[in-house]
Amino acid sequence: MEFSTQTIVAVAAYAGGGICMGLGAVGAAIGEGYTAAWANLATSRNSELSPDIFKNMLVGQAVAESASIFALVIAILLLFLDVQGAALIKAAALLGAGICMGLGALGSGIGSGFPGGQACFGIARQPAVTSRLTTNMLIGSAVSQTPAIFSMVVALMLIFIDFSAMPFHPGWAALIGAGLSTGLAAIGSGYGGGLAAGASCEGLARQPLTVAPLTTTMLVGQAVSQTPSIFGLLVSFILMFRTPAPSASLAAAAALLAAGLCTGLGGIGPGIGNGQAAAGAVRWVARNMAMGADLMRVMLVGQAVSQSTAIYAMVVSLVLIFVV
Amino acid sequence: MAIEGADLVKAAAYLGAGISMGLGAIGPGVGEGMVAAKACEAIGANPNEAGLLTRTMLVGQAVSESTGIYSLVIALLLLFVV
Amino acid sequence: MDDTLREIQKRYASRTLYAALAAGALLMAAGWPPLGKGLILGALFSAINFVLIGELLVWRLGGARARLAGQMLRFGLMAVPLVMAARRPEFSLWGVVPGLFLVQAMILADHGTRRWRIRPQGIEEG
Repeated sequence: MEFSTQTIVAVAAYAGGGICMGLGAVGAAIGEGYTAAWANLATSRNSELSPDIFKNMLVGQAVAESASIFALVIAILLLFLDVQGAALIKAAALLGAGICMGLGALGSGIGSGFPGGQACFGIARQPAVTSRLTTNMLIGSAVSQTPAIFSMVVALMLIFIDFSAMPFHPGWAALIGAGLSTGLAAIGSGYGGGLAAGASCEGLARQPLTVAPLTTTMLVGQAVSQTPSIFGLLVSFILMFRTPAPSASLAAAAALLAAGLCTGLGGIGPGIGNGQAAAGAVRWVARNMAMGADLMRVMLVGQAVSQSTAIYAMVVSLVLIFVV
Repeated sequence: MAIEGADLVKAAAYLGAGISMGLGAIGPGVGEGMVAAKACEAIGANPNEAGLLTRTMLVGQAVSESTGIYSLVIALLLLFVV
Repeated sequence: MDDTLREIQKRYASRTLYAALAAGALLMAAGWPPLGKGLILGALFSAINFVLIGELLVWRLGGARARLAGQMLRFGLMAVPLVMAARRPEFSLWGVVPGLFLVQAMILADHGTRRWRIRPQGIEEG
């Protein structure tokens, strides 16, 4: 049974759209559920404050939902794209775009729920700082969305750039690998950034006077947690813009696919780990502000070390792309 | 398209290298992050021992890094030796 | 409790619509009617979605099926302007997509500028 090129491209676009929305909804749903769960705990602890808690939860969920709206945008784009006269390589690009955005929305969706939940609970604990808690939650939650935005950028590039100059074999593997690299790496960074943001809301409620060093430590910690997803972005760009030599061999395709998988998977752990380190530092800046500078230094040293495996993964990916 | 045995072996080796290093990086990344988090908490609780605690953290991280290095070795073996 | 919820819904939804109308009119006057119309359309659905998050909170108490139904309803609603933009040339997709995030942008802008607008009271000074 033979299919026309157009049918294959359309099938890839629909499959990509389905993967994108399916995975994208999961993350935001877990994150919003976490926020709502802590809002309930907070209300049970201090029920007179329920209007404030409710308001905070509403605003937090609206921002936390962004990741899944990114996924929705990409999914609808994939479903309604005009694939008339597209080259076969477009099928791989569209599938890669769906995978990239779906995976990328997962971590940010879960992660941006953490500050929401902790801010709700913090309001019950320390009602005097309600407005600061909401602001801090929104900053943390918005920064946790960055990896999802990276994924959306890569997905849009995969959808709209014309790849017809790329040979189908092994180009298909490069484009799916480009999607996997940014998408998988974004999971860890989104989740880790959320851990740091949640800890800063918790700390702010514990010790409101520490707001300035808390927010600084949180932002630095989140920025470092985002490095693995920047590695993922870098490998995706190389895979998209370096035209591979046409080759019928399976090994050439496997090398490019594995390059994307390697940086992507390798970014998950360091992203989460860096987030944990940042959360630990932020939590103790709140309790012991005098140690702020030392805590920041230890956090950065610890994060740099736990970053090293992501760097190994990127080196292996670069070897797979350029050397073998 | 006929796939030859040698080509299949090479393809599997490359995929294996990518998956080995990729999955192998998850564990040390999370584990070392936990070490760093606890070190920060410990230094916050007991600032006088900051130097000792930082050293302990680095030793602990170096040990938990070893599985990541095993993965790297296996990945390089798969890439260049097999 | 309903007052504050209503109040915050009204504040952000109306700000979103005003901002979208202003920016949309500007874009239309500047010679990009599809972009302007798309932005207004996206912002309209963004505001409806934001109001619905609050309204459907009651459904969240109603067990897993009602929760899922609420989520699906809202995602379905957000898809409407995107599908319209994809199908009809008078709405540009590049206007709809920023429009869909306008409520979030308004929330962030409101809190981002709060530091300069409201003097923090005593204890909060850090």
